[in-house]
Amino acid sequence: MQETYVQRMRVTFATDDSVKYVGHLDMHRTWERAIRRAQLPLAYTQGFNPQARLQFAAAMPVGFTGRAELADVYLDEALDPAEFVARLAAALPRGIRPLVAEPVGREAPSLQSQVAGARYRVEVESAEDEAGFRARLDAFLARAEAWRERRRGKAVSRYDLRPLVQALAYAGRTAYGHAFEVTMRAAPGATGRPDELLAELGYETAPRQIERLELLFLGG
Amino acid sequence: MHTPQTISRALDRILPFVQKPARYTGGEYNSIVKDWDATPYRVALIFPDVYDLGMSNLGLAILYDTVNRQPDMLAERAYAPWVDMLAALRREGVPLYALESRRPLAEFDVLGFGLPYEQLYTNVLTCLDLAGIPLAAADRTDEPLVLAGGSACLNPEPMHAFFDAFFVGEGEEAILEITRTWTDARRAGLSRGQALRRLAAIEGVYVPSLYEARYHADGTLIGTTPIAGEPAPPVVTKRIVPVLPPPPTKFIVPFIDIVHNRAAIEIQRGCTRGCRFCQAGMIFRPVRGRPLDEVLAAVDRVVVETGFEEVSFLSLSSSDYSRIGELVEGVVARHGDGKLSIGLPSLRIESFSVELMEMLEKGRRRSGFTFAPEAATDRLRDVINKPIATQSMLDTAREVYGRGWTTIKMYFMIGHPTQTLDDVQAIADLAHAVRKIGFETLGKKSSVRVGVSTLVPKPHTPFQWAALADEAAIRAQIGVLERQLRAPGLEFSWNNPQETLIEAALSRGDRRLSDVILRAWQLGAQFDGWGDQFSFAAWRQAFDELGLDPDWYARRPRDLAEALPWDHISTGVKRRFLEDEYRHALQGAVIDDCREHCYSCGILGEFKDERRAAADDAWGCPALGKDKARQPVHARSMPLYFNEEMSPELAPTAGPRVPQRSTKIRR
Repeated sequence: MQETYVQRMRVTFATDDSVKYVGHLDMHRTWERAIRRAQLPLAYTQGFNPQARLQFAAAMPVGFTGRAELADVYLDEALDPAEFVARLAAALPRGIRPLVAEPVGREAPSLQSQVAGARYRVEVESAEDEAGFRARLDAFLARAEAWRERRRGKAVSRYDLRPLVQALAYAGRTAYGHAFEVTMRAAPGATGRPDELLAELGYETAPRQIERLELLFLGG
Repeated sequence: MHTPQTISRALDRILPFVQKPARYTGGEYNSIVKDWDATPYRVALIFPDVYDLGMSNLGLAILYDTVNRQPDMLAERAYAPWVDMLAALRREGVPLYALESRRPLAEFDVLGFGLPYEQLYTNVLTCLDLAGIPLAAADRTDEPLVLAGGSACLNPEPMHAFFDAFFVGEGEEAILEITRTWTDARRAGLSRGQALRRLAAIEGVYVPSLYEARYHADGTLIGTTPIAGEPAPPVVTKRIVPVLPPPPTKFIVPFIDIVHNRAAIEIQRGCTRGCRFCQAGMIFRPVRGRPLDEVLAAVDRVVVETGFEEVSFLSLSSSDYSRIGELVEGVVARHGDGKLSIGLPSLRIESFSVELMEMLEKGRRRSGFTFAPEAATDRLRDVINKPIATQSMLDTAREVYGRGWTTIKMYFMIGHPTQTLDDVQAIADLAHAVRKIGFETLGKKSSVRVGVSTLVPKPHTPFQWAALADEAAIRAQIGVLERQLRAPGLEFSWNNPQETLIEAALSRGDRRLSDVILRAWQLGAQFDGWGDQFSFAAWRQAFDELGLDPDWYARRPRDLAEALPWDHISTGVKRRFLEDEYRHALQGAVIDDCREHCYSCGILGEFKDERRAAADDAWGCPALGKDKARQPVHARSMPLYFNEEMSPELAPTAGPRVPQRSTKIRR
């Protein structure tokens, strides 16, 4: 269906601790309301039940923060990107900070279809010494496979986590434990999640802080 | 010692494993985080039920706005954690905290609980316990002031042991006065008791520890009076604002989907109709409407300040807002482009309401239309003083279906005084009649949803002396309805009679119920308003252990001469008016809308000064003073007509106007 809009604005934004427990659908509504408060000319789909034209690159798992998330906002009027960011910044809850925006072409593929993976920083509470913790990371990297179960409702499927972990490196001590950075692949039906990795490392229930540092895109 | 940092850290351990974690984080748009150390007066506003319900409470939203407008004050929020979070907080030893600063409640100066209904009583104890505050007011030393406000405070006695003070009435101004007085007194070194005595001097404040209740040998009350030598008024009268202050518009915008996920603008406070079962209609007098321009401006501001998709206009009877037509036209003209929906609850059952809704819902999907006749026969509606003719209801139903609404929701109560089985049967008959109209108009896609609750006689209403119906009778009547309302396109729901009993006992209870509430809570009672959480066994055992009987409180008709536990709390409505109205109920006598005739309910006498402070047309009550235009005033409440079946011998005293039932006036 051909939908009309004038400008497709791609915005990069960060989210902090105060919004990390907001689920994806709630986040979507939060943005819609912010755009309405900012009185930005958001485009809607046609039809009896118009939907806001707003697309996120990747849903943020509950409990994670993001340093450079991406969304496309479709507008009925062309705006200056700096003005767009300024108006949005004033209207978003304090835990969501728009950083920069740029118009993208109509022909550009959807953000979701281009996500190839993401890089994360994980801080986990641990009483272990550095050598011990590093040894766990090394042991995981040395494995050929790491099968895990994924539950969707009643359906349980098995997948191999190991090939989804593309890079894994120790990143230093923190106040309560250790930090590491991990790059994980995302493909249809196989998205690596750092909390799954934590479980594989023996830290399934340990308190953690997970930040998505950047999204990685196909061809990028 | 818990700090915002230790609490945040604990939340990171807890929140990944609870339902709807964003209930517990704060950070919503329009929530206000002030500099704690630079703000000397600190109030936590607490709604003792889950966030999803509490966030929709307009009273607390108004107070949040009012307090935070003061540069030297801050208000934060807390709600009762749902049972999973409750268990997690206890396990981790985390106290109940306020959402904005994540500071423990015990660090605030004032804890203001919103208490609109009795089912929240046990949750108050949960909140205090979780905050580490002694449950009994008498056991507190350095803790914050534990204060309650809201409709349930009109009979404060069952909760008297747990609150340091109750505020009776409209708190818009009083919350500031109470907070300053208490905090200053405590900081000046006054004892808790001395500070409470200062509060007792504030209009509308009831400090229960300054009063004593005495009983007759049969358990009935002798009276509740100030303890000798205590500086407390014999009667605490509710406080009102002469003119409604501008409505709040910067509503906190929740992240999660809550019960009423929208902005609410109060268009009118109070109601002139005088339905005899209705506590709100008696306790929120006088009627004060908001100027049309103010309402329309508020809608404009709400859109840009909250981004909500829906605004709801609140009042006890929207149809009686004097400029309702212009309001609807105005809001449609300004926001009718389809992006904003407008809610207009509490409409009368008449074709004008259908026209209003038609304007508001133009081009939208139409779902339900609500009728609340409360009783199904003309006779019983005369008894409750809600006179609508059955025929006009059916005509309205035809119009509703005819304009494309598919569902009509009908709300009734059983157990009204003088009710017979015929009146119950009439509920089923009326539902079927409406169902038939729906079927004729729209075919199989039409439906009727019937909700039946049992009358809970409420304090400060004409029915306060009436008895709750017997459980066997309630069950039999529900059984009749359940059998008869089983049909395609009919849905029937009803209230659990055991929940109704506890609500009724708490509603009209006395001071002795504090022990029952505490014991029931210890036995596991909490979230009593949630059917799946309600534990009748806990309540039963608590009453038994304390040698008290919920039926004695709920099902004993009270003599007009009996002292009532709330006699020392006044809404400004005279007891004499309520007595007359109770007698009128039993005679089937109907009185008119009190904007047409003043029935001297007592409000105007009690609030003379407030009346003079407001513009002549700002109240539903007549203006006071020389040369003011006056409406007829009856010294006693004079019924406009008597139901022919019930009082054939009584001569009519009909006045010039009966809007709904003109056929019944005897001339």
